[in-house]
Amino acid sequence: MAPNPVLEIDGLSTSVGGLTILDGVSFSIGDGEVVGVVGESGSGKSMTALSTMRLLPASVGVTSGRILFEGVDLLGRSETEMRRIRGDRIAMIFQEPMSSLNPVLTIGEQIVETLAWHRGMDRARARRRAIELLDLVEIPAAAKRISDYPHQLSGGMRQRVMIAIALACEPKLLIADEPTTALDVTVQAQVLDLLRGLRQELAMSVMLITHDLGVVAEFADRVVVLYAGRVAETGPVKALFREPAHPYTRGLLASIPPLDGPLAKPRPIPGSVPALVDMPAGCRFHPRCAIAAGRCTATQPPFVPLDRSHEAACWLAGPGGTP
Amino acid sequence: MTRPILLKAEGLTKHFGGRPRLFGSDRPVLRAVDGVDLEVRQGETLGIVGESGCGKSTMGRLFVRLLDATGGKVEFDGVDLLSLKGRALTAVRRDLGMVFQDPWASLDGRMTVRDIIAEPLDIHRVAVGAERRRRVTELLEVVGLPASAADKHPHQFSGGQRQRIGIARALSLKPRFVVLDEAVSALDVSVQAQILQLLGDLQAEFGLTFLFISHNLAVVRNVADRVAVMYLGRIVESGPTQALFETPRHPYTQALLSAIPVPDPERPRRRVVLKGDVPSALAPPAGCRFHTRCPLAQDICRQTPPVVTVGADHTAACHFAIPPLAVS
Repeated sequence: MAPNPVLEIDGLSTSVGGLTILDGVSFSIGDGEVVGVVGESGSGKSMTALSTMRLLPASVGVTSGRILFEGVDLLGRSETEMRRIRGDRIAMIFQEPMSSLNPVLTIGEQIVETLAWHRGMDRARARRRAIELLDLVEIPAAAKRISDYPHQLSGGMRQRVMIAIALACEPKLLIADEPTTALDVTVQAQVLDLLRGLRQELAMSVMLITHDLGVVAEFADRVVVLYAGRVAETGPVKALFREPAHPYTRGLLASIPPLDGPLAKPRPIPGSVPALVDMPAGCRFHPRCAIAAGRCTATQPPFVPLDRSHEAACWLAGPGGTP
Repeated sequence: MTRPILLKAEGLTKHFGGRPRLFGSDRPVLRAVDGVDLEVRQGETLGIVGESGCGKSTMGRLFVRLLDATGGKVEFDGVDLLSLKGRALTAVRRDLGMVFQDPWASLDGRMTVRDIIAEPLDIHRVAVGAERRRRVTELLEVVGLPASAADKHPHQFSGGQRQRIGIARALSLKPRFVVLDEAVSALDVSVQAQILQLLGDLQAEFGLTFLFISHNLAVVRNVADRVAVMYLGRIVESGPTQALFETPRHPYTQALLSAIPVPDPERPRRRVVLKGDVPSALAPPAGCRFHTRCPLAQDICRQTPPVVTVGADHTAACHFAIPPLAVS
């Protein structure tokens, strides 16, 4: 558990049409901490973010759990209260900035809108603040660029605008859902640098959702590895990369081809992520796990504590692990 | 031990738009591929890397004649590929295969897997009836899918399995040269490695030559014998994989390599962070196209750089690819 958690997700389960998607997801994000939530498609990482923002599609229901933000359960908030929290105390940036920005409003108007709604600022003041924010996200010639429409900007610049809007009200928690996945690698490096600097400057907590373990390694303090709707492993970033304890985490790391050093053939994990209608019993990873045996196929493994806040949901983890 | 050349491009160019109108101003010209010289050798995997808009996919499509070039030459096995027409073109198409990025978009959801894989056989009228069935079963086996897959539809398969179907289709006419355009980029990382392994096995078994196009440099390092780096329609550096990754000589290659996040939180990294975005291919900078973002750029970079040999089989198009000799 993180010290002074800003966000505490506790036993969160969601379902769609009677099928469980998230199954008892728990983790917390400390004050000023960056927590990377990683997993492959279908792991539930985006759903975790949307649950926190209370932006789940109508077909998905939360079946149990709590999402405590600054100590108060977000799941108990009314829609009106949530509307005040979203974009103010908790802000979110998405993968594809073009589909999240309004194409018929200038970027300035979109920032002004946020400030007027949440802070009741008059237009002149909000506009001055908008220019400051565009400066903050290092958009050159901010005072001129403020009148541009989203289509006039490059992908990297649009993502900077999204970040400026998200930071307009100095949120306590920023949820970044694949913030650099749609960007080219040289532009990704710029945006990651920017986020790193801003997080320090503004003392924000960040939930970083990504499939890219490289991005997590560079930016996160702690990591939560999700597999098929459950937390497989969680721990400080260094410990988790140095000594991954869950066979899924190990498999994920081994399947990435190295960029330098000795040329090791990437070792794939056999099979693929199970479908919702076909979730295996016991540990959900067991059909793809090389060391699964005995209990793994029948009983859900508990969290085995390994080291300072490093734990893995595996029967075989830790010194005393037996299948 | 240099292998014979299978495909050779010279001054290859693909410009989109630009035909003069009867009235009004000319349409802008998009210089997607703008003077590429390249050799692909028999049985090798040549990696093509670069960011979006660099022209790598357009180039791949020119090589399999999915697009027609606007200039330059491509020789495939001694034949002038770009001037072929009619029957001669149809015949050479059998030697050219292509695998696309998105296995959700590139397979027709209304067709059975059998018909998807056999479509090239039907078009080229090489197998019907029992022979067609036998070939489909054989191709499924080659890509690691059960024969029962033939009667299903693409939506019944996972992403990795769909990409296997796409590969089976690309191999159905026993091509010699296959363009793999971001063939593993849409797949989850644990599945990506499965497909890379399969591609390696297929290459060894059938002596295939691959053009492996990808924005993922780590994947390319792992599969390619040689690598060419593209920037705004031109090749800026090419060389044997190891040399290119260990001693990159073009500043763009260096920046690209340093920008990739590495899954190791304990490794300190020196990063060359480039300013700005890739300029538009509608108005590429004059001279070295990278000079507007290059940390080393000088006045001379406004002139087209020479292609300099910087090592065995290793070239870079940069005015500063050879460091000035130290004065002792």
